[in-house]
Amino acid sequence: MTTATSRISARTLSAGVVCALAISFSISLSQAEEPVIKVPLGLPPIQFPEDNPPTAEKIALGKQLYFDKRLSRDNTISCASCHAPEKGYSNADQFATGFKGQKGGRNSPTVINAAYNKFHFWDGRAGSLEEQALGPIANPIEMNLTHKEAVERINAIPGYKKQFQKIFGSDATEENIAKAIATYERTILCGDAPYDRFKAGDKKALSESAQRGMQLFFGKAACSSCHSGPTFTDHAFHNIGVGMDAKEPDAGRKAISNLGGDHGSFKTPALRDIARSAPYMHDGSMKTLKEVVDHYNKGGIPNEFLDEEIFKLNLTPQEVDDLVTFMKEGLSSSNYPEHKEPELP
Amino acid sequence: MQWNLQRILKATAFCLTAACLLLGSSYLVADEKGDKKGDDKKEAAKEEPKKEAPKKEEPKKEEPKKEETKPAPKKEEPKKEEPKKEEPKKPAVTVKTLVTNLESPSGIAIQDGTGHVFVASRYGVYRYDAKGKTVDLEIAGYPTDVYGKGPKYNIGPLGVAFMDKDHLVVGDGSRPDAEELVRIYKVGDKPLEKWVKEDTAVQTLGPIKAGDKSAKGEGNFYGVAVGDGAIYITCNGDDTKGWVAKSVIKDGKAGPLEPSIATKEATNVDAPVAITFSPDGKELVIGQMGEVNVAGDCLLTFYDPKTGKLTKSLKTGLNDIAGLAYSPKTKKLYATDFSWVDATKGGLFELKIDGDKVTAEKVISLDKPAAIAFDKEGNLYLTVFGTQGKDPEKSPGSLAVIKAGL
Ligand code: HEC
Ligand code: HEC
Repeated sequence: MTTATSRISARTLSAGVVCALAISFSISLSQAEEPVIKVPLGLPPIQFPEDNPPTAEKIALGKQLYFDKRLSRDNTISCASCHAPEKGYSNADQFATGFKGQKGGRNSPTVINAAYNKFHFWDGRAGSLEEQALGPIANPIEMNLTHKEAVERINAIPGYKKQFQKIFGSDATEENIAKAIATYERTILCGDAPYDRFKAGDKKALSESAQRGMQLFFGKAACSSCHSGPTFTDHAFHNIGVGMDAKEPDAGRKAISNLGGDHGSFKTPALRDIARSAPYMHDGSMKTLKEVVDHYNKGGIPNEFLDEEIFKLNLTPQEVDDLVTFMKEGLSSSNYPEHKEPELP
Repeated sequence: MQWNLQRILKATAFCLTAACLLLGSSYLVADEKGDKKGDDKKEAAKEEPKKEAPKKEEPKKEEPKKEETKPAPKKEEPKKEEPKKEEPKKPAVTVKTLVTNLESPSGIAIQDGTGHVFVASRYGVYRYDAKGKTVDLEIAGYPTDVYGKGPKYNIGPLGVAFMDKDHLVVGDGSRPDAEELVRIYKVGDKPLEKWVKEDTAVQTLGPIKAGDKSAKGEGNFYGVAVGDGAIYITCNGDDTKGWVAKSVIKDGKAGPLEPSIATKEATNVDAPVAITFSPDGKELVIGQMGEVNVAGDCLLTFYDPKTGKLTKSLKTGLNDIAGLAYSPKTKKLYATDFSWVDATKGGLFELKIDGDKVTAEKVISLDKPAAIAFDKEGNLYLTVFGTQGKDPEKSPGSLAVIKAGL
């Protein structure tokens, strides 16, 4: 995949703000020696970009920035406002509320396990967390602070300036702010759920109902057609008919790929700890997991672009409950990373 | 490397332009608009094949005169840019179009003895005789299904392979999932006076209905390979499993078609499509296409046909492998990349395997290539979907050949 990854990153980098990163540093061996991030059961090792290896200090710095409201124009909004640890790293609202209460048209996705995502955002328009991290700061309806101002503000805070000097050997810049935040985001990992323990041989890890739900998930209900792999996503885009009955449906991936068949397609979201991040879907239109399963059970909202893998499931009420139980109980990590706001410089 | 490739690309563009010109000259009567909406599907299925059915897609063989391969433009040798000395000089590869006006040509099989090339496309299976330069419809009357949501393709029979010299296995794609069939036809060594209907098969396998093994039933039997005493067929029905179905051959008869290898469970990637056997017949080689709307997610995988166990799964970086074939002369492995998301990236590639790494090296660019098959002499036949031109009456697909050398 090296070719593909490098192709993707080359493309996204040149489109993004971090072109200068394209020249890769040689990977430092220390990365392998000190496991700064412990990956929970059920998740594969994390691929760090060659030019942004993790260190404990960088993670700590990124965490401060993630929680720091001073990265917004009126000092009221941080990344954590919309991606809150206690709300499944989402924000419990149908739509994200940003600068001066403005609302966008899409639900805040979780950043849990975003480390593994090949694409970011509902329409996959960002390819790396580094590339993504600066976007919300400047977005007028999110944090509304220009990158230049953000850099100035950070450098004016001695505690930040010192850390950037130590970690990157320079003052804060757009690039290294992005690198620090992205590195912290890669530590927000959920795994080691009853599902993983069950798979590892502990047959008592899942209740009977969750076990039946698991069978359905990977069988009759065909959820794993799309929610597959360690984080339950195929890293692809599908039209499952959400919001297709709206007056002007969100074109989703189509707007990025220009592929006719992508109309109304959105990235398959990862599902670990999904019980924490209601409401669901790109438009936040479903409040509970039961509503979600009901949607699939009836075969989605019919439209010309509906994925072939969405069809009437004929699940009984008991089966619907079992599926919900599987997601709630089976996919909730035993050691949820409910990070607290760190002390800010 | 870079410049070398670029030159090949240029050469290709040149050849393709030539091919396009030829294409433009072909003519065909069609009595039906190409695009069928899902709703009309049933009706189409019920339709008896009209006498004029084959006319819809009277494939045009290329005039021998115009067939002349255009030599690739002379290379200038920009010595300075030459990256490495060992870089071998690549002979220019030329694609010669043999038959045009095919719609969704997705399968190729070459008959032992005659060397006739059998091509499956939307309306049926054609026989191309390279010596006599004739093309004849052999089997027709299939219904039509639609693949994709934009671009959309009308599809009929998909994968073809010979079970033995006179038995052709045809994997169908013309029906809805759970109704799809695999049919085995007896074919002679000469073109037929008149084509036969699709239901005149000597054996019909399937369907694989919805059930415990397949949530919605199986369909789109894209690839067919015969080896190790069985027929193997890639299916694209239930995406939680990604089945390869198997039918054991006994006393010249194919046994029941059963879901056999759950490729999605083995690889975590969707859609087994291209399928072939390694030259020694010991490995079942499958191209796992991945998502059509995601670039670079294609795998090259190897299974032990005896056990159905995955032995190797390699990331190719290609977008959508649609055909796989080993050269009988050089034992090199070739793949076509249909490249759904970006047709300009599509083409024929040599897959070089080195341990756990595979490098896909482009041989030539092609506009949505699909099936490939080598004949005994090492000529590579390939089908190309092409891009629909302005005239809806003309189908953009073609059968082409690359002369022995690969
Ligand atoms: C005002 C609310 C808001 C703020 C503040 C905000 N985000 Fe987001 N975030 C969103 C929304 C909404 C999306 C989805 C947008 C879309 O898909 O079009 C999103 C998407 C993301 C994603 C993509 C997840 C994925 O893989 O698809 C990441 C990562 C992310 N945000 C990180 C951050 C970081 C880091 C910050 C702070 C610098 C931040 N966000 C600030 C609302 C917000
Ligand atoms: C065809 C692919 C596909 C299949 C099959 C599928 N999903 Fe989804 N799933 C998606 C996509 C795409 C979304 C996001 C859609 C949107 O927002 O418009 C999604 C969203 C979800 C969400 C909401 C996640 C969030 O963060 O908002 C849940 C929960 C979910 N699916 C569970 C399931 C279950 C349970 C099944 C089986 C019954 C299933 N999915 C089958 C593709 C699929």
